[in-house]
Amino acid sequence: MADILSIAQSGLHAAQAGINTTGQNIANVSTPGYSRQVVEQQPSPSVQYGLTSVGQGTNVTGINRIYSEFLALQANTARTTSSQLATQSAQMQPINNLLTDSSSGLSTAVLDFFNKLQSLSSKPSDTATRQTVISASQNLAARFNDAQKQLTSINGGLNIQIKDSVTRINEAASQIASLNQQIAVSQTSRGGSNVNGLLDQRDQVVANLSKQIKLTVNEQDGNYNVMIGNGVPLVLAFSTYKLETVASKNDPTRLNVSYTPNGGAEVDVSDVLLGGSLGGIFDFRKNILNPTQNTIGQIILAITTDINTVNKNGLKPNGQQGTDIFTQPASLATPYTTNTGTGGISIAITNTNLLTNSDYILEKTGAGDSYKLTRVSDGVDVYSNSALATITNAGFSLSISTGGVSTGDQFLLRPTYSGASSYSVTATINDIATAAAGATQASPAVSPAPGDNSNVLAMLSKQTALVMNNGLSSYQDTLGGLISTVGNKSAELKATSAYAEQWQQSSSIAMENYSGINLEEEAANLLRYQQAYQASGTVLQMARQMFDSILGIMR
Amino acid sequence: MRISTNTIYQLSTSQMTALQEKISQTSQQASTGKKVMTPQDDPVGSAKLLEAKQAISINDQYAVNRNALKYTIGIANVALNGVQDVMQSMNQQIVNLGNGTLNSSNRQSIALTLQSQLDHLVSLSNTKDAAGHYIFSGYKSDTASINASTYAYGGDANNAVIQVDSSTQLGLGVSANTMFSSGFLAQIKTSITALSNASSTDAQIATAISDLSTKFNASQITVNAAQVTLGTTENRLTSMDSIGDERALAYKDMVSSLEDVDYNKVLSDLARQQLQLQVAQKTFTQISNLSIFNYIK
Repeated sequence: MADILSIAQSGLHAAQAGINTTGQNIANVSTPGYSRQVVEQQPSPSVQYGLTSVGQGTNVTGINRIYSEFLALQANTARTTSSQLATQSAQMQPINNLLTDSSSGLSTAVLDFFNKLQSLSSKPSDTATRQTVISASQNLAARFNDAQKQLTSINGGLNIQIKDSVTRINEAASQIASLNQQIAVSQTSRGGSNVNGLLDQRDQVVANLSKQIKLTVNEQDGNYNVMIGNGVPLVLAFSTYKLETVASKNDPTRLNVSYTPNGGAEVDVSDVLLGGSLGGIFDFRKNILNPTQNTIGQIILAITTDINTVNKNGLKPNGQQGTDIFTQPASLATPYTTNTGTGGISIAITNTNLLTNSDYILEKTGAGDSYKLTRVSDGVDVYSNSALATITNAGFSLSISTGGVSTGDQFLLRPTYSGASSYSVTATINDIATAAAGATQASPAVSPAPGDNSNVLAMLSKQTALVMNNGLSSYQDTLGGLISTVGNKSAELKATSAYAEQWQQSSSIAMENYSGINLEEEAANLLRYQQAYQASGTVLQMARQMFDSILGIMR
Repeated sequence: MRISTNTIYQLSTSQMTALQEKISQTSQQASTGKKVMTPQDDPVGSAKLLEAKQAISINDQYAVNRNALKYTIGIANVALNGVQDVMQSMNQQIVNLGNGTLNSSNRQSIALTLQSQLDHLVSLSNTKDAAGHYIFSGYKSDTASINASTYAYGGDANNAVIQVDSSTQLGLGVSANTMFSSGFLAQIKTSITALSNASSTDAQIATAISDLSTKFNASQITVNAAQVTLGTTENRLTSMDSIGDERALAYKDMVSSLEDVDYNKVLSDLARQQLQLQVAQKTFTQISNLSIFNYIK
C-alpha cells in the first residue's frame, strides 16, 4: 500500500521534471546555441511480490540535451568557409567601385592627358593649350595618387580588422578554457549534475570562433582542445596560447599575427592562419590588394617614365633640352627587421616594359657580391648567386644605398609601388619640349621653330603602343586587364560566397532543426506532462482513499 | 521532418530580405536607366566598356584634329584662290608686255600694276591663322613666309603633321616655298625694276619679260599643284570624317548595349518581384498565426 504512494510520487516527480524542462525549452526558444533538453525516464526496478514482481514507479535518470557533434562540425566548417568568402567579397567592393571608371577616373585621366597632347600637336606654341596639357598631367598624377591612397587606406582598414579578429579569437580561447574548467568542476563536484547549459555555451563559443578562423576541435577527457588555421594550437584543456598582432618583418604598414609556443620564440603564423574572416583578410591582402596596388603603380610608372623620356629627347621653346614633366616617387625597398647588416638598397627603374606587378625578395646569398632575386607572385628565382649589378632583366637595377649588407639579409622590393609618396608635376608650360632636338644641343640655345610638333607626336605614339608587360599591352590594355581581373575575381567571390552562405544556412538549419525548439512540440509536451501529472495525482488520491477505507474497516 | 520554430522565422526573413534587395536593385536600374556597372557585375563588359570609351575618346580627338586641319586648309584655300586671281590678272599684264608697240611710259604703268600684284602675292603668302601663326612657313610659324623686301622664303621645309586617324598623320603640305616656282617673286621684282627704268635697253627689257614669263608659267603649275594638294587632303579628311562618324556610332551602340537597361525587362522584373514579396509577407503572417498555444486556454 505504501508502494502505490511512492509510485504515484515518482510519477508526479517525473511529470514535474518534464514540465520544468518544457518550460526551460520554451523560455530559451530564441537563445542562440541553446539545445533543447529532454527528460530521460526509466522504470524503477521491480520488487518481488510472491510469485510475481511489480515495478516501483519511475526514475528521472537525467536531463539530456539534443546535440549532434556531426551536425555541429558541419555547421562550423560551413561557417568558416562562408565567413572567409563573405569577408573577401566585402573587401572586394571598395576596389570594385574604385575601378568603376565613373568613380576613379583613372582611364578618363589617361585619355584626357593624351587628348590634350593631341590638341597641342596642332597648336604646339599656343600658351593656353600648353596649360591644358600641364593641367591634364596634374590630373593624371592626382587620379592615380588618389587610387593609391584609397588602396592604402583599405590596407589600414585590414589592420584594424586583423586586430579585432585576433581580440575575438583570444577572447574565445579564454572562454573555451574557462568553460572546460567549469564543466570539469561541475561534473565532479556535483556528481554529474546538469551541465547542458555550459556545454551549449562552449559549443556556441566554438561556433562563433569558427567565423573568425578555420578550427579543429578535439575532445579529450571532456575538454575541448582547439587548433586554428593549419595546426596552430589555441586551447589546450585549461590553458590558452595568446595570439599577438605584430608588424610584418618586411612591411611595417602591415599587421601580421604571431604566437609564442611554450619555451619557444615568437612565430609569425599569418601564412598558416587560413579560413574564416581572418584567413579571408590575409588572402585578400596578398592576392588582391597587393597586385591591384602594384598594377596601378605599374601603369602610372610606365606612362610618366615614357613621357619624361620623350620630353627629355626634345627641345623646350627656349631651345634647351627637355626635362622631366612628372616627378616620380622612389620605389620601395624595405630591409627585413631580421637583417643583421645595416645596408639599404635603392631601386632604379631601367625599363618599364619589363616590369611586372609582382614584388621581389632580394637576398644576399654569399660572402662576396652574391644575391638571389625571387619573384613573389610565382616564387621563381629570377637570379641566383648573381652580382648585384647584373640584376637587370626585371626592369630595374639595384645598388646598395647605405651601410653594409650581410649574408642572409633580405629586402622586400616593390618596384611599382611607392607607398605614401606620390607623383607630382612641377613642370610648367615652357617645360613641355614640343620640338625635336637636333643631333647636338646648340650652345647658346637656339629656340626651335614654334610650329615644330614632332616631339608631341612622339609622346602621342606612346598612347596605343604596346609598351608594357614585355610588349604585350598598352597602358589602357593593362588597366582594362586589371579591371577584368578584379571584376572576375569579385564576381567569382560574390557567387561562391552566396553559395557558401546557402551551405552555411542549410547546415545551420539542419542543426537547428535537430537541436532547436519547436513550440508546437513543446506545447504538446506541456499537455502530455500536465496530463501525466494529473494522472499521478489521481493515483495518489486513489491510494489515499484505499488507505482510508482500510482504516475505516479497522475502526 | 522536424522543423524548429526558429527555422520557420529565419527562412521567411531571409527570403523577404533577399526579395527586398532584388527590388532595390531593380528599381535603381529603372530610375537611372543604367545597369549597375561595376567590374564585378560584368567583368568582360567592363573591360569592353573601357575599350569602347577609349576608342570613342580617341575617335573624337581625331575628329577635333581633322577640324583643326580643315580650318587651316580653309584659310589656305582662300589664300590660294586669291593667288590664282592675282595670277590671272598678272597673266594679262605679261600678255600686254609681249605687245611690241609699248613705249616706256606704257611699260612703267604696267610695272606699277605688277608691283601692286606682287605686294598682293606677298601678303597672301603671309596668311596667318586666328592665333597669329603664319600658315605657309612650315614649323617656323612665327616667321613671315615671304620677306617683304628680299622676297626670300622665311620658313623651313617641314610639314607640321598631326594625327587625323589611327594610322594617318597629315599636315597642310603646302608652304610659300612650294607654292611658287623657285625665285618667282624675286623675278617679278627684278622685271619690275627693268621695266620701270627708262634707261633699260631693249635687250634688257626683252630678258626681263621673257624671264618673268618663264617663271610665271612654272609658278602657275606649282600654284595649281598646291591647290590640288589641299583639295586632296581635304577630301581625305572628309572621307575620314564619315568613317569616324560611323565608328563613333558603332562604339556608342556598343556602350549603350553594355550600359543601358532594357526597360521592358526591368519593369516586368520589378512587378514580378513586388508580387513575390507580397506573397511572402502574407504567407509569413498567416503561418506565424498558427500555434497550438492559441487553443490552450
